[in-house]
Order: sequence, then C-alpha cells, then structure tokens
Amino acid sequence: MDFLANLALGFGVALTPANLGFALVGCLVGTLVGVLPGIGPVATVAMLLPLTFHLEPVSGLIMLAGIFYGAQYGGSTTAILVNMPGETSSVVTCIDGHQMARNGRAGAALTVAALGSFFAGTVATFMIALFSPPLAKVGQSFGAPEYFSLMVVGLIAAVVLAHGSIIKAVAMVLLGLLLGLVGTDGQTGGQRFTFGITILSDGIGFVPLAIGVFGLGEVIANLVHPQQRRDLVSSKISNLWLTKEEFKQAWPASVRGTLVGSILGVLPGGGATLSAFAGYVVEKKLARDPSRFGKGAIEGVAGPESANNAGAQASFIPMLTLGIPGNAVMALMIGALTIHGIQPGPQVMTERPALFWGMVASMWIGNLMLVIINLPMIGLWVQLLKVPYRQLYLAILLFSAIGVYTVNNNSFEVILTALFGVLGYVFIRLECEPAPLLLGFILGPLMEENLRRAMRISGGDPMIFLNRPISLGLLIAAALLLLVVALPFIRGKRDEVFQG
Amino acid sequence: MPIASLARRHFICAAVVTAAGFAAAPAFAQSTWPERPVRLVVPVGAGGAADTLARNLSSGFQQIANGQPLIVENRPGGGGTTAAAAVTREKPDGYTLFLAEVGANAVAHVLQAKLPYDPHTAFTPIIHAANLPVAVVMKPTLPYKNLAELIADARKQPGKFNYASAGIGNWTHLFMAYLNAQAKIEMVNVVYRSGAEMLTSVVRGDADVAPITVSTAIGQIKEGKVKGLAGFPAKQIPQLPDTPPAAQALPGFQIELWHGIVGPAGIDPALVARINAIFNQVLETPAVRNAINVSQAAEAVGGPASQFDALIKAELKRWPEVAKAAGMKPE
Amino acid sequence: MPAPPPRFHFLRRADVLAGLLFIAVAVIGLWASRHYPIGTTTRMGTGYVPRLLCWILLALGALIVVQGLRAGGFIELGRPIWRAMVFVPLSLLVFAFLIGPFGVVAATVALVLVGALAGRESRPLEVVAVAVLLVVLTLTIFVWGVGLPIPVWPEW
Repeated sequence: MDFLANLALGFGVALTPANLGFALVGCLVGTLVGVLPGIGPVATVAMLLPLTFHLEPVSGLIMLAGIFYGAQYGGSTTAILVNMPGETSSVVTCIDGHQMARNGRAGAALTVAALGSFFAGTVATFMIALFSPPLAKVGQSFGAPEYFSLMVVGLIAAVVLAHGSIIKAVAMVLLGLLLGLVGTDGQTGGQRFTFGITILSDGIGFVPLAIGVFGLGEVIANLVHPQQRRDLVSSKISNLWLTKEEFKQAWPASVRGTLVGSILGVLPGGGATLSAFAGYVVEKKLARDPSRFGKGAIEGVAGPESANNAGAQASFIPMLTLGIPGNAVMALMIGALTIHGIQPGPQVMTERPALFWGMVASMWIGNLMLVIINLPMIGLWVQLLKVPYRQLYLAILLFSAIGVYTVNNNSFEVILTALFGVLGYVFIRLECEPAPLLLGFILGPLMEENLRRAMRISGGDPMIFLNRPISLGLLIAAALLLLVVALPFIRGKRDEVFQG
Repeated sequence: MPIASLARRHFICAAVVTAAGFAAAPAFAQSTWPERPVRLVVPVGAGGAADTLARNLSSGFQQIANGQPLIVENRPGGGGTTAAAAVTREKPDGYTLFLAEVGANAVAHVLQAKLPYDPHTAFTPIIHAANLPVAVVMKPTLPYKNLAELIADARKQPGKFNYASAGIGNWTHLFMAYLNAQAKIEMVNVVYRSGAEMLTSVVRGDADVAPITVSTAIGQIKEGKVKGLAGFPAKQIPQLPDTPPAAQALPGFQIELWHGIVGPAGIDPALVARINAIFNQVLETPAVRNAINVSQAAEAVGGPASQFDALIKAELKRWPEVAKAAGMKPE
Repeated sequence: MPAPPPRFHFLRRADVLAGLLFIAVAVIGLWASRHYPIGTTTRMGTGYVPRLLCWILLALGALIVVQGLRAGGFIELGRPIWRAMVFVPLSLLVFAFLIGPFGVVAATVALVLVGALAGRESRPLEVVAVAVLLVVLTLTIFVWGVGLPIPVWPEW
C-alpha cells in the first residue's frame, strides 16, 4: 500500500471538474445549513440523499461529506456572532468565541475558527490516509465499561468548563444530567419524567435546549440590558485578521486540538462532540492564565474548533474502514453506499481503492474550499453585526424558530425552545453557567446507559471497570483530574482557615 | 446547477401541491393514481436497513408511477409508533403510505400503555415488499460450531450467556425472546441503541450473540470477526453458505423480518389494487430487484394485498404472546 | 440615610435564588419519580440513578443557598425584564402554534410582531419592514434554495 500512490489516485478522482463541482455544492449548502441554528447536517444530508442516487458513488459521497463539513464551519459562525450554537460541537465555541465578539474581535474569532479548522482538516486527512486501520482498531476496542469511564472523565472535565463557582458548576452538571434522563429508559423501557406527554418519551432534544439556553437567553439578556451589550454594534471592530500576538497564542492550541480531536473522533458514538469539549478543557488546563477563559481567550476558540473538525473527519474512519457508523451522519453515508451497491466494511479499502482514497482526498479539498468560501465572508458577517440590535434580534428569533422546527417538523420542540430561553435568561441573572449543563445533558445518559450495560455484561461484577486496561486507565485519569480540579478549592479553604 | 434545481423542483412541487391537495382527492381517481408525489413515511432514522429499502423502492418508483416521485419521510421515535400514529391520521387517498414492520404494526399495543391507534384496524395492508434476513452472530472466541451446541450449554447454565439487542420491545429483543422461549434457555439482554452498536459489541466480545440483519453483519462475518451461527428464516440464506437455518437446531423455527407498505384504514379496494400493482412492478424492475436482493442481501417479495393482510394478522397473534411471555409490558 | 431595603432582600441574591432553583428541581424530580422501580446496584431500575442525582442536587442546592446568604450581591428586578421574558418566548410559541395550520409565512409575521413587543426600542414601521424582509429571506433561502419541507401557506 504505497501511501503516495494512493493519495495520487485519490486526488486524481477528487480533482475531476464534476467532483469538484459536487464538493462545492456540498460545502455551500452545508455552510448555509450550518449557519441556521438547529437544522443540522443530519437533516440536510437525509434530504439530499435521494439526489445522490443518480450520481456516481464517489461523487455522491463527496457532496454529502461537503455538507457535513460545511455545517461544522457554519455552526461556528453563529456561535461566535450571536452565541447560538449551530450544532452540538459549536457549543464550546460560544463560550469564548462570543466573548471575543463582544470585545470587538469577532473577525479574529471567525478567522481563527476557519484557519484552525482547515489546519485540523489537513492533518486529519493525513492521519486517515496513514493510520486508518490501527485507528479503527482503537475505536473498536471501546466497549461499555470503557465508554463509562470515558464519560466519567468527561463529566469531571465539565466542571473545568466553568469559570465561576465550582459548586454551582457541579449543580448545573447535575441538572443537565437530569434533563438528559427525561424520556424512555433504554434499558428497561420505563418512562422517566415524561408526565404522560408522549412526545417527551424520546427525550428532550439537544437542539431546543442549546438554542434556548444559549441563544434565546442571550437575546433576552440583551433586551433587558441594552447598555450592557458592549456592542457588537458600537465598539470599533478592529482588524479582521489575527494580530501577531493572537496568532502566536492560537496556533499551539490548534495543534493540540487537532491531536485531541483525531483520537476522540475515532470513537463511535459522540466522539466528535466530545472532541470540542475536550479541546477546550485541555487548553484551559494548560494555559498559564486560566482566568482568561470565558472572557475571550483565543485559545478557547482555536483549540475546540480544531478539535471538532479533526473529530468530524476522524469519525469517517470507522465508517469507511469497518462499516460501523460513529454517528447519524455516518449512518446516512453507509445508507448511501448501500444504495449504490457498495457494502462498507474492511474490504472497501482493498476492493474499491478509488472510492476510498477519492473520498479521503476530497476531504482535504472540501476543507480548502470551505476556507476559501468562509474567509472572505467574514467581512460580510461582521457587517451584519452592525445592524441595529432592535432589528437583528428579530431575525435571530426567527431563524431559531425555523431551525428548531425543521429538525423534526415538530412544533413541540419550538415550544420547548421558548421555555428553555426563559431558563437560559434565569441562568444568566443567577450567574449559573450553561456549558456544564449541556455537557451533563449529553454525557449523562450515555454514562448511565453504559454503566448498566457494563453491569449486565459482567453479570453484576463491578470489577469489570478495573479489570479492563483502557477503562482502568481512564478511571485513573478521572481521579487525577478530580484532584487537579479540587486542589485549588481545598487549598483555598485551608488558606481561609489559616487567615481566620 | 442541475442537482439543486432537481431538489427545488421536487419540493416546490410537493409544497404547492400538498397545500392545494388537501382540498379533495376523489376516490374515483384510483385508476390514475398517482397524480402527485406520494409520501412514504418510514419509522426509522435515515441510514438503516429499512430506510435503505424504502429508498430503493423510491428509486424505481418514478418511471412506473406516472412520473410522480415517492418521497421518503423519516420519522423515527417511539419505536416506530410516532410515524405510525401520524399516518393513521392522514386521509386514505393513497398519497400517504407507511413502511410497516413488526414493531409498529404487530406488537406496539402490548408494549405501550396509550397507543393512539389499534394495529388491528388502523391500517390498510397494501403489499409485502421485502424480507430482511436476520442471522444470529456469535463472538469468535466461543467454541460452538452451531446453534444446537450453544443451546445445549445454555440449558445447563441459565443466565450465563448474554445477547445484544437494540431496545426493549424492539424486534431484536422480541426475536431473541422467542428463541429463548423455544429453546428453553435463559440469556441476559444487554441493550444498545442500534444494530451497529450491537455488532460492535459482539466483535468486541462484550455480547455473546446478537441478531443482526445480514446486510449489516455480512462484512464482519466475511472478515471472520464474528461467526454466523444460525439464520432465522426457514430457508438457507444464500449470502451466508456456512450459516444454517436455526430450524436445524429447533425444528419448525422460523422468523422473517418483514417490511411492507400500508396506508391509513379505509382505502378503497380498487385503489389498493392499483397501488399494489404499481409496487409489484417496481419490485420487478431489475435495478430495484438487484438493489434489494444483492446489495441489501434481502429478499424482495411482492404479491397481492390479501397475502400481506394475512401475514399481518398472523404476526398480530404471534408477537404479543411472545412479548407477554417474556415479561415485556407497558410501564 | 439610604432607603430601607425592600422586603425579603436577603432572598434576592444570585446564589440564594440559584440554590432554591436547584432545590425546587430536585424536589420535583423526587416527587415525579416516587413510583419508579429502584432495583439494586447491580441491576439498576428506572429510578435508581435519577433519584440519586436528585438527592445530590438537593444537597448542593442547600449548600449554595447557604453560600448565598453569607455573601452579598443584590438582584434588580424591574419592568423591562418582564417584557423581554414574556414576549421573546411568546413569539416562539406563536410561531409554533401557527406554522402547522397556517404555514411559515403567517408564523413568521406573527413571530416578528410579537417579538417586537419585547424590546423597548422597536419602531412600528421598521418592524413591518423587518417582517417582510424576513419572510422573503426565508422563502428564498430555505424553502426554494435548500428545499426544506416546511408548510408555506395555510391549508385552505
């Protein structure tokens, strides 16, 4: 398997005018879709799937993949500009990205998001090309106990996401956990907290929660305190590009994020989502001055953005090499392949090298296209911020409503979003941070599910978490992380005692 | 750009016509059905085996059906009942159809306390589209050469073996409960969220066995990552020559994971015959047949509506019993 | 001499209210899950984890209340808050109820009109212009461009 020969083959396929065209269409549609909060890549890919019947398999996949990345890029844009996460992985970008916008550095934030993502995409493409089979093996070695331990690490890290009171952050994580448990208990079929409302038996959607708490909460806050908006509108938006200083801070974060994302993205089941959060946590913990985070630290944008792009691309690996979808979009891709008569699995690499490597090459091209599309648009987006808020917020409200509605053609979710909007504002006034809540919401159910599955697998023996090496390693990491988190707290208390 | 305009054309067509079309759909139009796009509501998310089947049907529909497209609409949730309930509320004019399968149509009323429809009466059966063959796969570290050996050992040690399923009350759970009951063994159910997760679990060795559709499992079986232990259909699955039917170990055992098309109750019989005829033609077209039989490793069926009606009625008797015996009940 | 503090001023502190919120949620959770089967640690039932979490949340909520009573800080409540807190969600609710039977055009207009009531600076003429613009944008980009299958016009 000559690496260069494979890449050459791939580029040969990907660079045909037709395939370039498909990539472009995919990227454009994806960006548009990503900018609209709520309707995510899954719905769009599903909608455009039938169109790919009439195309060559490679072309169809290239277009669908373009939509997927495009949505990632677009999601970051709204996260930074209006605190509205376009989709799961953009939630983290809201934290520091939006603060950067409030500090007048929206252009820089958007730029670093675009460049960081491109860098990550390039590296990830190489990693896929070189390391697909071993990476896929890593993904396969995660069973229920390993996932549980990973989630534990994630939840402890969630506390790190907060920059205020730790106790309140923990409480928010718990609240998120409880919200995540609403619905049917997968392991027994029982209903939890659904109060007889049938729609709730599938749980609370992530989209209404995220858009309500982050986006709408922010809108209400801005309406109540126009003078605190520290605008967006009034402050001079200096220099759209990164300053030298910012660049120096951002690029190491980008590299780290890429690494984190490439590893986590391979794990089926939310690896890509975790990537962004993990990237943020890594940056915050490694920073010399963690208090900058939450106020517009550029590493807080560069790291997660790179991580989530790397993660998104890495999530193709289990799909392409093993035929196992890591998330809903991958499942769709597998569906697309099957329709074309291709059975995704280990044999795809050997039996259809043009398909495999063509896709890999196209990933990179897609990333390049997205940077080319998005960078010039940054100026446009920033101009948008100059629209008077009293008009802008109406547009934000509308796009939130449409976005949420189109996910499932479901009015109920729009109602939920409205309620969460109120809750989001309450959180802002009560100084409770929403990011830990969201992380708890995502990770909680997964953690509980895997805990119970692991117990079933081991026949009730809790030692299973310690007997398996990966799980053990993760739990040790969790314990260490807990110490690191709790240490300043304990030390603080001791100082208090000694001073008193 | 040709692709975008195709989508635009379809959806403008659908939007405008749907809005106007609620006005009237006279029953006597059955001989010219369809005169506008038809919706096929699918109770699973996009990308799964059932969804792929729907899309395969859709790809062959337009050239046979007056140039009208068959639009696949995914409405996952509630174990398939969300989609089913939505369809029961539509007009029986042949323009809203449902991809029926065992969950929503044969057993949901036993599993859910407040099902808004009665599967016995809420639908008009139209055609049995295809069977998706299911095989029990086993993790390769277990030494059994066939299902009989596994059963023999399982009888001696109840609760020792476990199997992966995709949800309480899901067909994976039902089929394995049936197997356990027939074989008089007791295996522990480890619940996952999808066939892909189940398969990974068996490959990983966390689950001992799992019932998986052949199209999902075949890659891993061929690579030797899992062993195809037994097939649920009565006859040998052609794509898996080394996997004998479960009937060899348990005489008379057979299960088909059937999928078909139904509409809301009350469709005029002449219209039913017309829709049935169209779909039979679709199933006969070489491209669709090939997509189903070869790419999906499934079995296209077809046939008259009455045959499907009989099948559903039989399944409605069979599966609620299995569910109740296994202790599945609404909570 | 400064004006006497309003009644219950000690309650109007961020942490106190936050803690009370958590306690309230925990109590509701415990009440809602009172009949759920708990099972054992090795075979957890439906209610095991939720109830455990509720108890922990209750405890944390109490701690936060205590923390809040000791600290200072006072929250202003006033009329502008209620306007925004009512009309922003209301605008979405209106959208949710109208879009099914009346289509996205009607729902959009309604959302914009109701949403405009939430801000103090809205000017009627502007609002109408924004509504029209947004309807046009929605139709062009989402209905015709991307092809989202949303109802556009009322079902007459």
